[in-house]
Amino acid sequence: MVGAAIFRELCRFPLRVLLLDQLHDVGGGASRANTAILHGGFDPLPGTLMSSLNVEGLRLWSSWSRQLDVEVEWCGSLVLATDDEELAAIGDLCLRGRKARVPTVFLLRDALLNREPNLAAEVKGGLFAPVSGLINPFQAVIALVGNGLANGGELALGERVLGLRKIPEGIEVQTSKRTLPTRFLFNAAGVEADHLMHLAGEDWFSITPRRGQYHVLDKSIGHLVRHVLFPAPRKLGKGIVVTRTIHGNLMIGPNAEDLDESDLLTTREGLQAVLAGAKKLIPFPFERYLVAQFSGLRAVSSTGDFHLGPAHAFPGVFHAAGIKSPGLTAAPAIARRLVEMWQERMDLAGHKEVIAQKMDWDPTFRFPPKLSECSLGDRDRLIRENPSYGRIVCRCEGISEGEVREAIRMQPGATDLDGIKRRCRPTTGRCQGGFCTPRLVEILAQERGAPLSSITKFGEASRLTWRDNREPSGCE
Amino acid sequence: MRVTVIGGGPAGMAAALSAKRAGAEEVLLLERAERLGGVLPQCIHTGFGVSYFKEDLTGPEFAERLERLVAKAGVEVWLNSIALQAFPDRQLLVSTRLGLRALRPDVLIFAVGARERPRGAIAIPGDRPAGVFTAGTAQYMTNIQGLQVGREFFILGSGDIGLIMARRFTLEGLIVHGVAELMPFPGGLSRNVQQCLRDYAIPLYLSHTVTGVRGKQRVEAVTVAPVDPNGYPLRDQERTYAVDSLILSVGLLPEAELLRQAGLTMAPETGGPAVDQYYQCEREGIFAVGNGVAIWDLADNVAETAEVAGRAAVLCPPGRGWARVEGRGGIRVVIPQRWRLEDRDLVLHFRAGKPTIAPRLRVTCKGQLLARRGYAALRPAEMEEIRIPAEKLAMVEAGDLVVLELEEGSGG
Amino acid sequence: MDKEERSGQISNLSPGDGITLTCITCPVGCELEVTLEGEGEVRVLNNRCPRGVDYAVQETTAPERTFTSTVKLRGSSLERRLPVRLDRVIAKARLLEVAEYVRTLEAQVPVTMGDVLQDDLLKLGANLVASRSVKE
Repeated sequence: MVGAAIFRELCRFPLRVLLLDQLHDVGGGASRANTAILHGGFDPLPGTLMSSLNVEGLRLWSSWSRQLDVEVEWCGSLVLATDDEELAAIGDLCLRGRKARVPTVFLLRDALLNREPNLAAEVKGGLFAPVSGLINPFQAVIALVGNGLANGGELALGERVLGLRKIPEGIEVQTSKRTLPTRFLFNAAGVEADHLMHLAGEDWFSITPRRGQYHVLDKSIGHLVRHVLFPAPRKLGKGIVVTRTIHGNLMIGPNAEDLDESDLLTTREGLQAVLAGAKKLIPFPFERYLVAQFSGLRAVSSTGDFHLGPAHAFPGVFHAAGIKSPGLTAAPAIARRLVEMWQERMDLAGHKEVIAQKMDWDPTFRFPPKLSECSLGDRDRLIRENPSYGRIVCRCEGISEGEVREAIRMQPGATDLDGIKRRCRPTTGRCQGGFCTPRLVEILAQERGAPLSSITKFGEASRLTWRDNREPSGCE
Repeated sequence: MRVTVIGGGPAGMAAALSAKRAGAEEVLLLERAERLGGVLPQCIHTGFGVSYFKEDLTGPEFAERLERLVAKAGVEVWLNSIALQAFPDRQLLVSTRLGLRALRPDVLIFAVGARERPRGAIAIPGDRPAGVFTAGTAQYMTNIQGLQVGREFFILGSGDIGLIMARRFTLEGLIVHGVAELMPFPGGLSRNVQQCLRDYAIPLYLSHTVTGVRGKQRVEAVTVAPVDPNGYPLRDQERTYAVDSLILSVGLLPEAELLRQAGLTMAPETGGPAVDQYYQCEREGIFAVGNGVAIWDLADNVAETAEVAGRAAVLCPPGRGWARVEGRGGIRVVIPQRWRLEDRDLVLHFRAGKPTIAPRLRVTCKGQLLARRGYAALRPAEMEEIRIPAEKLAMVEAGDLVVLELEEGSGG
Repeated sequence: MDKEERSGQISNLSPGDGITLTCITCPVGCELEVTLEGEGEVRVLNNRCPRGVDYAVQETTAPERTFTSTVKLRGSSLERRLPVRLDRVIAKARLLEVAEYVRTLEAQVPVTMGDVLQDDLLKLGANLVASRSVKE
């Protein structure tokens, strides 16, 4: 998310900008596996980067989401206390919020119940932050990258940075595929941002991957909550949240496990902890409505705050490291701040020509039509223009063949099943791809002019099938 | 009379056919796929049609026989057409390749089938690589798309489709390492345990489950452990199987979202709508048949429910009231959940909660015995029935509760 | 793994060998304890009706099964595979061999359900027939 936001911002200027990602699609790291919340900004310690960038990021998202056609829902959030100690903790949050100029209201149980009728009996009071909500994080990354591409940026996927070397013209980046000379390098490598800092000669900073596991639950119980519900704050992160996804599924999580090495698996114990945590806020038999589980990694920095700025000893390199929650909310502000730092350097060096915005820069991005958001009349018209909009591929979410084809054809386009899922969400419903997977394989193969057996779940070796079962062995 | 049937599988085709034969002037059959048949075309094995056509057919043969009858009877068929929304007054919004269509038939029959429970529904922990398929998806990809979905398999769940796929993979020259079943008894029919597993010496591990999936890109291994009587895995007895695919056959659920939207009362124990003996839901003129009501053992059963509904949709006079039907004490599922009062025998379909040898079943209402029957054995995998004679039912009035239960002390 | 069930090829039994069979004649599914006593003679325990004995004899002397598979379909714009079946049961012991052979066969559209694609397949006395029609 942070890299994509920086990419969009850099593409405003008359530069050649290349976005490099080691995965086979954009937004495949922490951006795809998080709580998908726009945080109000009352939580981070006042005076930290986290605090100021959260508040500024939230403000930017309200305009960027419109410019970029990204789904957001300002449903507000509640932090809930179940005992006196937690009530006190919430009082502190209230003060933090005031310092950060985030509007919050303290509510007693009765007032809370008006907002959230299904709260646990133990909940005594809570903090209401009206300016916060939900976002579609997959879409956000794709829109940011798509906007950058439309403004002349370039994208290279499946390419990993292996080394950096100073050269007279700037930096030589050794990737897994080639040697790339560049003037500037922006490090937004998520949980691996410290690795890139090491390559740039800085080892004072380190990142601990903190795993969080989640349950996604059926849409039929999406109405159980109206706001994002947080428990009163604890030491490790914000605790187990009960929230909705922007598409109406209930979602609970994350737990918090600090790892030595990045590992995205889910565990029985972790998933059970998530269920137990959620039940403290909303007592409900969630286990009867399970749809999917996933885990994500948060990049917890050794300093306890975001780290933004130019590299200490490597001219041309800028870091955005240790971006954990509220990184998603703060991303636009992080990008702005980092690009401003770069501009100052350019200004001082006398390169005024590159810091003037391009005349033809277009701040907007539009996704292909989404049938579920169209009026019936528009939908009918779309089908008449293109019959593939009439053929529903994903029955759970009501996604048409036409939408899937557009998700593949758009820039940046989907090249595998997860790419389609993140762009227009088939396989995210009740059947989890049981019905639509074969369809999606067919459409992807057709659009790419490739055999059915070549289609992957998320690039590389994540092949869905091995071969045609009636060709002699060895033929793909 | 205009009848619209949603779903062109065995239930939908049989319902459309019987409505047409019963005299409905216009019968429209909606199918979302590009071919009729539902799951039948991918079920290339035999065992279909034994009661409906009195012949042992393959799935595709059963579908084609029905399809010919449907065409001959003059049923209008729309392919690539999906019902997007249904309303309590039988209004229907349909997406077709020609545009959206709004319909309001006199009778609406839902024959929407079932979906498979996916990995997420049972929360199998571990990595999330490619290579985890539900059995039906693997069946479609193998038999229709002609793809080799894996080389070495482990199967979780002993539902019929999982058993059928164990045999299918073996005949394709692939390796099935084993089948794990959480319950102490198989989920599928005994004959399938015999002809799909034992015939090929594929081990069946009862009271076992998959405790984890490993593999960053494609499945590389699954771990399997026995479970204690509460279903908790005994991790110290975990075994690892090096496989590239995990196939799930862990249950089917009626695909009931559209029916729920239409405001129909749902039955929690089946996951489908509550129906009467003619498969009418709690709204006049709305029927639900086949696996969209409850999961039946065979496509023949599904077609038979549809035949009943299709005929009743056209011929049945309005009811004079309903009694409720409930299963208790060892009875997990009962169809129908409502009895429309009439002077005919009533057949109740039911499933036992656990395997029981030599049980006696009794049906009562207001303390009076309506029927009693002994069985050699009852198994959860097999839907059974009991008939209640019309003369016994004469005492049942609208609003009464009819109870189906195993007699205490019977069975073992 | 105490619940493991494993039973091999029944046709490999020699006299004195015992095996458990699930009778598939009716839904009761008796767990038959079958012991081979001599050439074609079996002793059956645990059967609740005489049909269990018939099944056990058939199953231990000359077990037979239906066979189905798919073959590659040429010339169709819609279908990549044609489902096929043998028109009568064959010896269970030949299933894997038949399966391997059938995987090498192909069919061409148009084809009609019941069309014989190969008669007397592998001299087993059964024909391989199309299990559905594909016109184009």
